[in-house]
Amino acid sequence: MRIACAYAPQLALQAVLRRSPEWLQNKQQAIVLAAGPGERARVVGLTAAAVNAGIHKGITVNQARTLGSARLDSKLEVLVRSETDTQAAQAALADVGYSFAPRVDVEPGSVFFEVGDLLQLYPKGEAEIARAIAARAARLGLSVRVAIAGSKGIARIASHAGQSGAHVLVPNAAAAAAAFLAPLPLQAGLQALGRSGDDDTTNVEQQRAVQELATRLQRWGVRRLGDLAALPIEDVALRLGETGAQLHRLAAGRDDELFAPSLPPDAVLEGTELDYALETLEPLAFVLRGLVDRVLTRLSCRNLACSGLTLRLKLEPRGFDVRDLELGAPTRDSQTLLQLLRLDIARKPPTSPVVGAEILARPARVRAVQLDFLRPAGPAPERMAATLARLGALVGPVNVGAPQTTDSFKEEECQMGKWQWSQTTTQDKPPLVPQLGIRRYRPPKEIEILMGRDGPSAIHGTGISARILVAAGPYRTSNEWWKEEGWSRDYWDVHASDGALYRLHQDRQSGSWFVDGYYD
Amino acid sequence: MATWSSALAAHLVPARVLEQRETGGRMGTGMAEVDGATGGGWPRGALSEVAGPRSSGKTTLLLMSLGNALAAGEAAALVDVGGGLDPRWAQTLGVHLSRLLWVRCDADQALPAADMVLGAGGFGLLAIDFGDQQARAPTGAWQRLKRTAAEQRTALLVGAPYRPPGALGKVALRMAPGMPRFAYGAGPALLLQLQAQAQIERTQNTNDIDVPRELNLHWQRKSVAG
Repeated sequence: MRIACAYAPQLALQAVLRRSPEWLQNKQQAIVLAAGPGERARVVGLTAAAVNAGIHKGITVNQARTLGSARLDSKLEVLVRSETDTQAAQAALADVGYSFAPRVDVEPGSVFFEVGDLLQLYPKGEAEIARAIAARAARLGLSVRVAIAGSKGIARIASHAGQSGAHVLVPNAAAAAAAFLAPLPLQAGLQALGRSGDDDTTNVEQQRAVQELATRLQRWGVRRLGDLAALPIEDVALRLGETGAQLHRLAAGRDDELFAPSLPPDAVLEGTELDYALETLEPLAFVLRGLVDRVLTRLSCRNLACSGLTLRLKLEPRGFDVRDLELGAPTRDSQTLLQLLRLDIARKPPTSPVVGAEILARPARVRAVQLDFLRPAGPAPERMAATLARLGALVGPVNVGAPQTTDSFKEEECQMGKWQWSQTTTQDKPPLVPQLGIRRYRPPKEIEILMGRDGPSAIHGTGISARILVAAGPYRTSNEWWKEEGWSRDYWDVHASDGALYRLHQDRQSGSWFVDGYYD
Repeated sequence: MATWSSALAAHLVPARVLEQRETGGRMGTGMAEVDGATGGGWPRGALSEVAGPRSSGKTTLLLMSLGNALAAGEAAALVDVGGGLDPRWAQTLGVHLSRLLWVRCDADQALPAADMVLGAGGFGLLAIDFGDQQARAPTGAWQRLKRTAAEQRTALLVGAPYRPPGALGKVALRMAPGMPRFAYGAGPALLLQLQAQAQIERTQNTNDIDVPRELNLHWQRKSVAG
C-alpha cells in the first residue's frame, strides 16, 4: 500500500489568498493573516515576504504594520481569517484527493489517499504522481507539499518535513523508512503526532500533551528522530506513555496508524466572507464569478459537472437569502451559471446588503453518449445543457423546453415541459393526408365583431380589419360551469376578405369576442 | 502592393461561391409536391425561406417538416416568435412533442436564440416561425446564422410574411392563400380544407425543366369538430 499525503501549510492564509489570483501569483507581496478585525488582533499566518521583513506569528497587526513600514518597500497587506473560506479550502484540498482516488482520509490541512494503483496511469513512477498531485492542487489555488510513503503517519511526517514545491518519496520497508526519518528534527515527528494543521486550535489537549513530550525529550538531549529510534522502546513507553511509544514506532519506520477513508460529499461548497457589505449587483456578480469558477474547477478535477446550485447570501445585519437554480442538464460552463445567477438576483434582489456568499453545487456525471451507426448523433448533452441555460437566460426559463398538451377543454392552453434529447426514433410518422395546422394568439386578442343574419359579418381588431365572407359555426364548448371561473364559448371559423381563415370565439358570459388564431 | 493583391487574390473565395457551397443532404418536408419541386426538401447547412401571409399554409409546412425530421431520428427545434404553436394540432401533423425543442420569444430575440441552438450543434432542422410578424434583422445577422448552419450542417428554415431582406435563402417559397372548402349540411357549416398556392422563387434545381414552379397545396382539417 502506498499512501500519498498532500499537506497545505498555512491553510487559513491560503484560503483567503484563493479569493484573488493576483495574491497567489505575486510572491513578493508581504501579506499577514489576522485572527480577527482590528489592530490588536494577532497574526496567525504570513507569507515568505512578510517573514523576511521580520514579522512572525503571535504579534499584533499594529506591530506587524510598524515592522512592515520600516522594512518593506510596498505596503503590508492585512487580511482577516475567514472560517467560510477555510472550510472551502479544506474541501478543495479533499477534492485534490478525490480527483485521484475514490476514497480519501481528510484531516485539517492534509489529505491522504491510496496511490499504489496509479502507476498504471503514471508509468514514470511516483515522482510523476507527486507532481500531478501538486499541479492539481495548484489548479485549485492551493500550494501543497506532497509525500508518498508506505503508511499514513510516515507520509504525514515526510510531507511536513518537505520543502514547498518539492515532493518526498519514502520507501515501504521499515528500515528504509527509518533511515529516511533519522536525520529529521524531532519537531517534525511531534508536529505530525499532533495530527493537526498548523492553524488548528481546536485540538488543545493533544497539542498540550505533545508539547510536554517535546519538553521532556529535549531535556534528555533527543534532537532528531534517529536519536529516539535508537532508544529501547520498552523504556520509552515506560517513561513517556503511549504517546511516546507511538512517536518511537513512527521514528523506527513502524507506523500503525489506520488509514480511515471516507466517500466524497454530496455537494461542493465554496464560500467567502466580504470585508464590506455589497448593495448592488455588479460587485456581487464579481464575487460570484470567483466562487462559480472555483466550484467548476473543483468539479472538473473530479470529472463532474454541475446539475444545479444553491446560492446562500449572508445579509446585514442578520439573515440569509437562499435561492435554488436547477439546470436542464449538467454543465461546466461558468458563463451560463453566472448569467443565470445574475438574472435571478436582478429579478429578485436581496432585501439587505450582502456580507457573505456561499455556493453549494450539486455534482453530476456528464452523460456519455453511445453513438449509433445508422441514426443521427444529435446534440451533445453537455453542450446542450449550456445552450438550454443560455436560452433560458435570453427568453426566460419558462419559454424553453418541449411543448405539452394540457388536460383542458380550453383550446389555447398548453404548457412547457422539460426537453431532453434522446436518440430513439419514433413510430409517429407524418400523416398520409396532409393535415391542417393552426397558429394561435396567446392570449386570444379581443376584437369587435359586426353581426349579420347568419353570424359574424365583419371583424375589426389590432392588425385585423376585414369583411367576413364565410362563417362556420357556432360550435359551443363549456366547462367547469359548477365553479365561479366556469366558462362557456361559441367558436366560429371564418374566412375573411383579407384571405385569412380565423378562428374566433364569443365568451357567452361577457359577450366579448376574441380571435384565437388563424389556420395557416 | 499590386503584387500582394494578385498573390492574395488566389486565396480569396468570392461570396457567391461560398453561398452556393453544397454541404450535402436534404431534409424532407413531409409533402411530396414540395419535396419534388425543391429537389428533396430543405438543404442541409443552408437557409431556406417560406414566405406568405396568414392562412397561406406556411406554419403547417414548417410543422410537417419538423415532424418529418423528428420521425427520421433527427433533433429538431422551433424558434417560435409570439409562441403561436398549438401542441394539439402539431401532434396531428406528426410532431413528436417531447422531442421538439420549443423556444418562445419575441421577434428581436429570434435570431440570437436561433444562433444559440445552431451553435449547440447536432440539430438536423431548425425552424424559425415569425407568424404574422415581419422578420427584421441586419444582413450581417442572417449571414452569421447561415455560416453557423453551414458549419453544423443544419437545415435552417425561416417562415415569415415576407422574405426577410438580406436572408437570401438557397430555397425560397412564396405562398398565397387559396379558397378554403366548407361543408354545408343541416347544422352549422364545417371547415374542411385549406388550399394554398406555392411559388418556388429560388431553388438549386433551376436547370430541371420538369420541376413545376408553381404548386397547388391543400391540407385537410383534422377530424375533430369544434
